[in-house]
Amino acid sequence: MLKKLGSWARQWEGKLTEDLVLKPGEFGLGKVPGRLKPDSITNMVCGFCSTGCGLNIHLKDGTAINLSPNTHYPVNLGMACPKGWEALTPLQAPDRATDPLLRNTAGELAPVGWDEALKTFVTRFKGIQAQHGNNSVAWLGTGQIVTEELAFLGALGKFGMNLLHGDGNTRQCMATAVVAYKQSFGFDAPPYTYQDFEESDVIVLVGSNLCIAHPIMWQRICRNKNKPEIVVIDPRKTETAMAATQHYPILPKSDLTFFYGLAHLLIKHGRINKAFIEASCTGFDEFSRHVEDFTPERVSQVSGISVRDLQKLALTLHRGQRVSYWWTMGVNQSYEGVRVAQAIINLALMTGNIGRPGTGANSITGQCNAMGSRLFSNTTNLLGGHDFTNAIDREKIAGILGINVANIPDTNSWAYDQIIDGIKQDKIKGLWVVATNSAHSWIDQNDFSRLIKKLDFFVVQDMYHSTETAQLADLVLPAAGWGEKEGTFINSERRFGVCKKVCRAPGQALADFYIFKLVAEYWGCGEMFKKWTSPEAVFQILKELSKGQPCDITGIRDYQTIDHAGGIQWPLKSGELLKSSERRLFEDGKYFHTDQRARFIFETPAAPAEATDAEFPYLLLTGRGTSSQWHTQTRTGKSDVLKKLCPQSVYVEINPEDAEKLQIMSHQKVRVESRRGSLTANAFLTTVVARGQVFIPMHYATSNKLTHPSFDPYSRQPSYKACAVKISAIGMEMRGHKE
Amino acid sequence: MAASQTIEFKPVSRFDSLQAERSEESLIDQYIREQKTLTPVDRFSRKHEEQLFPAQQKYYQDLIPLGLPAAGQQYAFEVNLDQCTGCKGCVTACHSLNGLDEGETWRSVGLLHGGSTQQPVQQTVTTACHHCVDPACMNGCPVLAYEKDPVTGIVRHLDDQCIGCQYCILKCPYDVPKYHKTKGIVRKCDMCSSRLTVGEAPACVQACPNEAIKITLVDRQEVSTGFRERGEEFLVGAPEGSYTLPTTRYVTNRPLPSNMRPADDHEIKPEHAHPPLVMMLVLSQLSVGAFLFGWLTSFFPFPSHDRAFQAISALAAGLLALASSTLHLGRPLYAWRAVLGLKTSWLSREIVAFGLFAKFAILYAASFWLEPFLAILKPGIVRDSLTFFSPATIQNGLGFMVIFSGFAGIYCSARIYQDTRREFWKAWLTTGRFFGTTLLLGLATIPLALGLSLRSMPAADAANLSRIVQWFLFFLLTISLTKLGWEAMILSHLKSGKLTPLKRTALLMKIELRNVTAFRFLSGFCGGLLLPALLILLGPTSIPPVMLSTLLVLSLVFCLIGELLERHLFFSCVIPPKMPGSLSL
Repeated sequence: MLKKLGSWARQWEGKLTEDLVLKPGEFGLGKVPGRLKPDSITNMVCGFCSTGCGLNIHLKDGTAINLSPNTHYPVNLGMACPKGWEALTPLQAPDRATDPLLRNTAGELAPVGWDEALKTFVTRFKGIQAQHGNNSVAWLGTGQIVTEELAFLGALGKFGMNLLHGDGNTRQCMATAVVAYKQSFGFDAPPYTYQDFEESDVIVLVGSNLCIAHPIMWQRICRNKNKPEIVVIDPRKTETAMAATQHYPILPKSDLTFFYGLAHLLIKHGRINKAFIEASCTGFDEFSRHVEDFTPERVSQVSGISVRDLQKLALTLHRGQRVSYWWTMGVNQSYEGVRVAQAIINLALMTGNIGRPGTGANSITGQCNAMGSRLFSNTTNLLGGHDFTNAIDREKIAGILGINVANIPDTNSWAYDQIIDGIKQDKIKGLWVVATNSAHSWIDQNDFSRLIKKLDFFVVQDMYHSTETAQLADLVLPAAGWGEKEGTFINSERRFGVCKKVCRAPGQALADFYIFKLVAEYWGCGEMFKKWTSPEAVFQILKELSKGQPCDITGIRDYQTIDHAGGIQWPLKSGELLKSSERRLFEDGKYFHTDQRARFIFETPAAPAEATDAEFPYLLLTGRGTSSQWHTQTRTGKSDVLKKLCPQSVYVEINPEDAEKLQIMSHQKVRVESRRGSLTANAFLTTVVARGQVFIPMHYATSNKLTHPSFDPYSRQPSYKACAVKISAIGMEMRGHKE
Repeated sequence: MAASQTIEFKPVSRFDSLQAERSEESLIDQYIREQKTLTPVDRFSRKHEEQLFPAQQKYYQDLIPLGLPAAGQQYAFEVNLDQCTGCKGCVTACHSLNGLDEGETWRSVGLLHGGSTQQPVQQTVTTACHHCVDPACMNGCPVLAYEKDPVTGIVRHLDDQCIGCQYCILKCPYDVPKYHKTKGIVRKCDMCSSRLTVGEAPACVQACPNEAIKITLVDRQEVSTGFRERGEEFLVGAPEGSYTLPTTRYVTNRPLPSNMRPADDHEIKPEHAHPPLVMMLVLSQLSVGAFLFGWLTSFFPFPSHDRAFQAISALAAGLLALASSTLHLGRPLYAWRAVLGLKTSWLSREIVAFGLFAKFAILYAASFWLEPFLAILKPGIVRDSLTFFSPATIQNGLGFMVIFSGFAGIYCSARIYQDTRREFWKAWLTTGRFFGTTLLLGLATIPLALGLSLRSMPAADAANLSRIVQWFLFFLLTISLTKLGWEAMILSHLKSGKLTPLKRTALLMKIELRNVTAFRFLSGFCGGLLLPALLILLGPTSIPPVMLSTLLVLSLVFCLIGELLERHLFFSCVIPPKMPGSLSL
C-alpha cells in the first residue's frame, strides 16, 4: 500500500520516460532509441563532403528513420562528423522545392506543372539559341549530384542540346588540383588512400584545416601508430595547427616561395632521392636551377618564417621515412594554385615520397562528388577523362554512346568565370544552374547578381526554392536530394560509393536523373539517351567510357559489388581482382604521361592581384568556419542541431592587437569593406589570426561581396583567400570589452 | 531579365506526341511514380545483419570501465582536451542515438582561446552533465525528480516525476538540464546509463573519432577534497567545482594559459523573463505587504469596511499570484508533488509557506464578516466555540498568522534565487528587493483604501485620517526613493574594468533592455515619488474626492508597473554561470 502510494507520489516510469527508452537495435547497432528501432539497415555513402563516409541508414518499412556511421566501411570506421549524423534532417525542410516554379508576369515565382515547366525550358532555351546561336546557352553544374547524373547533364548539354559551354562548381574547389595532377602525372589522379594517413611518419598539411573540414580524415591521423610529426602550414593557428606538432604560419600567398625554399634546402644538402628522380621523373635539373635563388634568407623574408624554422622543417622532411603531403583549399583557391600544388608535388617527387605506403602528394577533395565531376561531367574533359580536342577520343566516345561524332564539340568549354564573363559580353543569354548556389558562392558576388539580371532566361534546378540563386531564377526545377535517389559518388581517394533511395522526395520533386530524361524528351533528343534508362544503366555506360583510361572501372560489376566491397577505388580493370580495400597509385613508379615519367613543373612566383595598401590595409582570408556548416548552408542551415553548433551570423576574426589600433572591442559590430563591396560582421578578437590579417568564414551570404575576382591562369580557379579590406567599428554601442 | 519577352519559336511536335501518350501514363507521371518507389534493401543484403555484439564495441571497449564502481566510487566522463579538435560529432551522436527531438541537445562543444599573438592558443571543450557528487539540480528539485544512483553515481532525471518548474535549470551552474517545451518537462544526459548497464559505451564515447571522451571511475571523496579543500580548478573559464563537485575530468598534457577565455565571453544575452514568475513574485509581495499594513491599521481608528475592502483586495492579489505561478509549470496538474522536496528545496518550502498563507488570508478576510455571521448563527456549540475568543482577537490572531506565513513565503522566494549562486541574485540583492517590494506595494495600497473613504467621513475624522494617510505616503516615498536608488546602484558596475557578472547585468540593463530599465525607473518615480510628494504637499483633504481617488489609484498602478518591470529585469538581466561556449550569435 505504502509502496503504491510512494510510486504514485514519485513516478519512475510512464509515457515521458518511455519516450527516451533505448532498445537493442540489432544489426550490430547496439542500443537505439526504442521509437526508432529499425527493421532493416543499409549502407550508403554520405552526401556532404569528399571524405565519403559510409552511413548505416536505419530503415522502417523501407524508409529511413535514423542513421549511424558504418563501423565496417573502410573510410570512416564507424565515425561521422555532425553533417553526416544529421544528413537526413535537411530533406524534411519546409522550403523544399516541391513544384516547378515559373516567374509570372507579376515577377513572382509561381507553381506550374512539369509539362509547362519543361515546355517553357525548351521553348526559351531553343529560342535563345535560334536568336543568338547554340553557344549562347550554358550550364553551371556541381559536385553534389551522383556521377551518373553528372554524366547525363554533360552529355545532354553538349551532345543533345548542342551547348558548348558548361562548367561546375568544382571549378571553385578542385580545378587547381586537376590541372596540377594532369600536368605533373599525365592524368587527374590523386594517388593516395586514407590508410596513408595512418602509415606516415611525417604528415604535412598545407592550407588544410582537417580537424574542421575533414574530421574523419583527422581521425585517421589520430589512428597513426608511428607518433608522426604533424606539420601544418597555414597562416592561421587553426584547430589543426593547434593539434599539430609543428606549425608554420607563413604569410598569406607566400606559399610558392616557401616551398621552393624548402626544395632549395633539400637539394643544397643533398637530401633528395636521386635514384627515384632518375627512374621516374623529368625536368629535375631545370627545377633545381630554378630554386637556386630561393635562399633561406629570401624565403624567410617573404614568408615570415625564420631561417632556423625553415631548416627545421627541411630536416623534418628529410628525416621522415614516409612523408605524406596533403593540401586543400588554401592551395587550390589561389591565383597561382596550380604551381603551388606542383611545388608540393615536386617535394614529394624529389624525395621519393610517392607510391609507397604513407607517402604522396595528395589533394584532399571538397565536395562529395567533385571527383565524379572531374572524370564524368563532360565539361573540362570529354567523358571519362578524355580530350574534346582529340579526334580519336571523340570517335571513341561517339562509338560507345552510339551518337554521331559531329555532336561532340571539338573545342573546350569556357570555365565558370568565362561563362560569367560571357554574360557580361552578351554572349551568354541563357543559363541553367544545377545544384549549386552561385549567387552566394561565386567570387565578387555583387557583380554576379548584377550580371544574372542580363540573362534572357535563367533556370535553377535545386532541392530548395529558397537558395539565393533560385530566388533569381525565371524557372525553378524541383530536385530530389541525396537519400532520395540512386547513383554513385567518388570520394577523395578515388572510391566509388553507392547512394540509395531511402526517402521519398516531397511533392513533384524529381531526381536530377529524371529531370534530365524529361528535358531530353522535351528537347527532342530523347532517342540519344534511350539506353540511359536508370542510374545503374548509366553506370554500365560509364564503365565502358573508362575502359583503357587510368580511371578504368570495367572490373566493377555493379552497385551491389561496390556496396559489398565497402566502396571500390578506381582503377579496377576488367578481370582484375580487388586485392585490398585500400589501394594507392604509382607503386610501380610509372606515371600517365606517354614517357611514363612525372614532370617537375615550376614558375616564378607572382604577386597577388590585390595587395594591401594604405586604404585597404588588411588581408582577408576566407575558409571553413565549423564542421557543422557546409558551403552556403542551404542544407546544414536546415538542421536545428547543426545550426546550434555554429555562429548564426557572419563574424570576422581580428587579431586583438589590430583591434586595439582600430578601437574595436570584442563582439562589436564592424564594417568590413573591400573595393567591391562591404558587409557588417561581429568582431571576434582572437590571436588565432595574425596581425594584418582577418578571417571570415565562407558560409555566410555576404562573405563573397568582398572577394576579389582573380583566377589561376591554368585552372581558372578563383582566388578566394586573399583580398584587401579595411575595417571600421560601427556605432557607439560599447557592448564590447577590452581584455 | 526579359522573362516576358516573346520569342518566335515553334515548339517541336514531340510535345504533342508526349501528351498523346497520356492515354497510358505520361512520362512525367511515370517518373513521379518511380521517384516515390524506394530502393529495395534486399538488393543489398548484408552479411553482418545478424551480428550479436554491437559492431562499434571493438573501438570503445577500452573507453569504458570493466566493472561497476566500488564503494565510494562513481562513473565519470573524462575528456582528453588534447584529442578534442572541435568536430562536434559527439553532440549529434548524442542527439541521434538517444532519439532527442529536433534541436534538442544534451552535449555541447565550447571554445576557449587566449595566449598571445606569438603563441596563440585555442582549445575546444566538449561538455555534458558532470554527474556531480553534490548535484545542485537534485538538491533544488521540489518534487524529487532527480536521483543520484547509489552505485554508478549517475544523476538521473525522472521525466514522469518532473512538473516542469525548471528550477534545476536555474540551479545547475553548468547549464545542463534543458527544458522541453512541448512536453513541459526538463530532460538531460544520463550518461546513457542503460547502455553502460549492458557494457555499451555512451553515444558520445562511441562517436568521438579521436577517442577524446571516455568513462572512468572516480573516488567521490577525492572529488570533494580536491575542490573543497585543495581548491583545484575544474577547467579554466568554467564555474568553480567546489559548489556541486562535478566529476568530469578534463585532462591535457599542455596546460592552458591562464588568460584563456570562452569564445562567447562577450555574447551577453538577456535570459528568459518568466512572466508568470514575475507576476507571482510581485503580486504575492503586494498581497503580503497589503495584509501587513492592513493589519497595522487595526491599531488606528480606521473604518472597518475600508479594512475589509483592503483585505479582500490583498487576498485577490495573493490568489492571483498563486494562480499565475502555476502558469509557469510545464505540468501544473502535478504541482502538489512539490511537498516532497521540503527537506532540501527552497522552492518546496516557498510553495508550502504560500499555501498556508493563502489559507490564513482567506480566513482573515472572512473574519471581517464574523460578527454579522455570528449574529445570524443560532446559539449552540458552533457559536460558542466561535465566540470563545472575541472577534477582534480572532482577527488579530489570524492577521498575525497571515503576515507570518507571508513573510516566510517571501523569505523562501528570496532563498530560491539566492540559492542559485548568481551574482545578481545574491542574498542581499534578492532579499532586499523582495522585501522592498513588499513594503512599497503594501504601503501603496493603504492610502488608496483610506483615501476612498475620506470623503464620506465627518470633517474632524477626515482631517485626522488625512494626517495618517500623509504619513503612509511619506513612508511610501522614503521606501521608493531607497529602493530605486539602490536598484540604480547596479549600474555603477558599468565602470568596472573587468567583465564581471554584475557588469554584464548592468550592460544588459543599459543596452538590450534599456527601454524596460527606463520605464521601470519612470514608473517608480511617478508612482512612488512624484504622486506621493504631490499629495503630501497638497494635503489629501484639500483635493476634490474624485481627483484624490484617481491620483491614489494612479500612484498604486505606477508603483505596481514599476515593480513588475523591476522583476522583469531581475529575471532577464541575471548572468547564469555556464561552461565555456563557442560563438553563437
